[in-house]
Amino acid sequence: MSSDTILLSHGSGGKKSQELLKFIYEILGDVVINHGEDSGVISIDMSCYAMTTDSYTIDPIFFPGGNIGKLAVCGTLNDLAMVGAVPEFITLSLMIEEGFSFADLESIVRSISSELKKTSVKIIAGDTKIISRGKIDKIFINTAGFGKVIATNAISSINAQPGDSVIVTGSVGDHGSSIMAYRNGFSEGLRSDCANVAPLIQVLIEAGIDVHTLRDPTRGGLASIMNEIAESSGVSIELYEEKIPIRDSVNGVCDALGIDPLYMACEGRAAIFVPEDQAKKVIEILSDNELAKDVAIVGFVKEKSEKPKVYLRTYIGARRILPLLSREQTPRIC
Amino acid sequence: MRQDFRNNPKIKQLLLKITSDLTTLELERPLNLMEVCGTHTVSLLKFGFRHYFKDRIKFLSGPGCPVCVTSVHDIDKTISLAKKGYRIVTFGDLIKVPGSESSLEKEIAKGAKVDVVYNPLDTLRIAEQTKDEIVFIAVGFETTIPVIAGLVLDAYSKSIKNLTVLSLVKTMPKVLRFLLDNLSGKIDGFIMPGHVSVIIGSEPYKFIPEDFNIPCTISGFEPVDLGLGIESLVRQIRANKPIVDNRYTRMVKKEGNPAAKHLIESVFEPSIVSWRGFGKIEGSGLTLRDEFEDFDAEEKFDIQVTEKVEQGGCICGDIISGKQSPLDCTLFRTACTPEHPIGPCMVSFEGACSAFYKYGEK
Repeated sequence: MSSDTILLSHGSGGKKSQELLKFIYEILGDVVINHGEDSGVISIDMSCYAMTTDSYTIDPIFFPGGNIGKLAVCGTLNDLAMVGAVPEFITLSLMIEEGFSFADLESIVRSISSELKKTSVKIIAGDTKIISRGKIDKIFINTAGFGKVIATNAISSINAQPGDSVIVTGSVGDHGSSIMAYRNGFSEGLRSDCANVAPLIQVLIEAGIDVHTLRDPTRGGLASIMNEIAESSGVSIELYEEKIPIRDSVNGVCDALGIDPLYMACEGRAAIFVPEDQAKKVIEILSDNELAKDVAIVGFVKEKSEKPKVYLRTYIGARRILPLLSREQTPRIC
Repeated sequence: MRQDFRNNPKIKQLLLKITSDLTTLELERPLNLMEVCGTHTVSLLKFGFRHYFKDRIKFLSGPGCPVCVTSVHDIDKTISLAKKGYRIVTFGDLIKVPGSESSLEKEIAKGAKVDVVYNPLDTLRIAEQTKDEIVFIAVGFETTIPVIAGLVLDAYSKSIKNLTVLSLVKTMPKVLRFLLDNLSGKIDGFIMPGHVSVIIGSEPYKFIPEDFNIPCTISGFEPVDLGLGIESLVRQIRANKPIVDNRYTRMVKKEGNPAAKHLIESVFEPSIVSWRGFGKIEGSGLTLRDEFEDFDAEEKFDIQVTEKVEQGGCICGDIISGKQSPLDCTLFRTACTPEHPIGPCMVSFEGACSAFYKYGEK
């Protein structure tokens, strides 16, 4: 490791996070059976099942478009969906700081409940811990998820194929930029996209779409997951700047803060890689759904490459590299 | 509205016009255009202008990134304040800039109290909620200075006792004259900083065409804005009639923003300040006026720090003065990366090295 202590940037989803994971994997050795995917897939009695876990810490815990409870449910359901699974169960662990208000807890738990009621997902186990004041920040939530894989072909970051179309289910950067704006005191017109996208994915798989790769562009945003997929699949990817849906309000706040929306987290979107001849069908199927009304084909997979790159064809027609970001973006000062 | 300046067929026409103008110039070397704003550095790379004009226009990054122009000595001062236990409030980028021996980020890991703000006025709220002695580290140009002046005035009117400002702010026109006195013949045109110009207007740049015969354009940051700006510079070079051409009229007025200028003048007065890469330039900095000396960290605390030399090999100073490009630096992408920045140009998102790294410039 290049530094002897953990820095915040080790959690930013960029190069430093990869450094941290490598550090942990090396110690754990071959007990780890799942590298790099959001969910692990196991085969039991001829069927495949997926399992995932995620811890949620967010400041502020209430934000335009959701709260930490909704996020903890949607994030985990989305992770299951990204390997082609239909979520069935989750676990729920609440770590609460001494002094936290019952009213806030009620709002959070109500959000969890209302999000789950839209699905057939049940909570199969849970835990609560109360922690002394100041030892954690308000409330942390951990959820684990379990579901049955319905996709017949393995959906994975290693399966993007040359010629695949790259589709995003909606505008990118909404969650990250609304949080950053909210922290900086301006949130006008911004809303997190926090949502459960598992039903969208289920519809696609049931319609027989041959999905090769699925990812939710959370930490590090669309640009980061494109780089991860390019690397894992050994292919280069080209995106068209003018095709990528970004809300005006998101562009506005990102310009003001000097940050790039392509690196801002989404919490209710998926990037979908399918053979080019099925891309139109995906758009037809998804565009009727409120959650995916801005669905768009934003790029394509180029050739196999030993040095995979992600390219962006810019508004002016120039082509530049869209790299993996090495650290968290901070607002500019000029 | 933003999309009108971003995703617009007009950009293709502008590019064609520039290309044909460049052809008639029959240049023996690429044009050297200097952008004097970190946001322009980023926009030129982000939207692909550098790639597009590769062998025909060389974009030089000027002293337009507030973090990059801050001297090592001044960074050492902020670190010494943090080490003494004062609570530091500043902008995010600054905490990662290495001083001669440490950085604020490293001091945070050792327990120093540092708050990062986007809006300097948040410092007031922090000061009101604590008994800690707060030092706001003020970096920035004319864009940021009015807000810092506002902070000082608010603190003054509320008689806040635990808040001071370490003023490392800088002003634009003087450094450009210094640059031209020392770099004559290399720069063919200037893309002037859009944000700074909103405040100071277009008049302060007039000496550039008049005394140095170099064209200037004031430009915005969207693809169409930059296309208009570059088109103006190439057209002026062709005609050999340099002026200050304002192509950002939706934001920049000739006289600038009088209220903001007045705010700056009422709180600050010109002073000598040290720039990375240039050294000390008389009148290019701002210090708090005497009546606000209670809020001046330099007055209130003993911040004597021995001047030490920069880490060997870093050429940030030459980069922000347009003498060299990040690609000329032997540390770039090897020893110096955004994870382990050696110089400030790699720390700040507006810094040339960071932008070159991020957008994969080769």
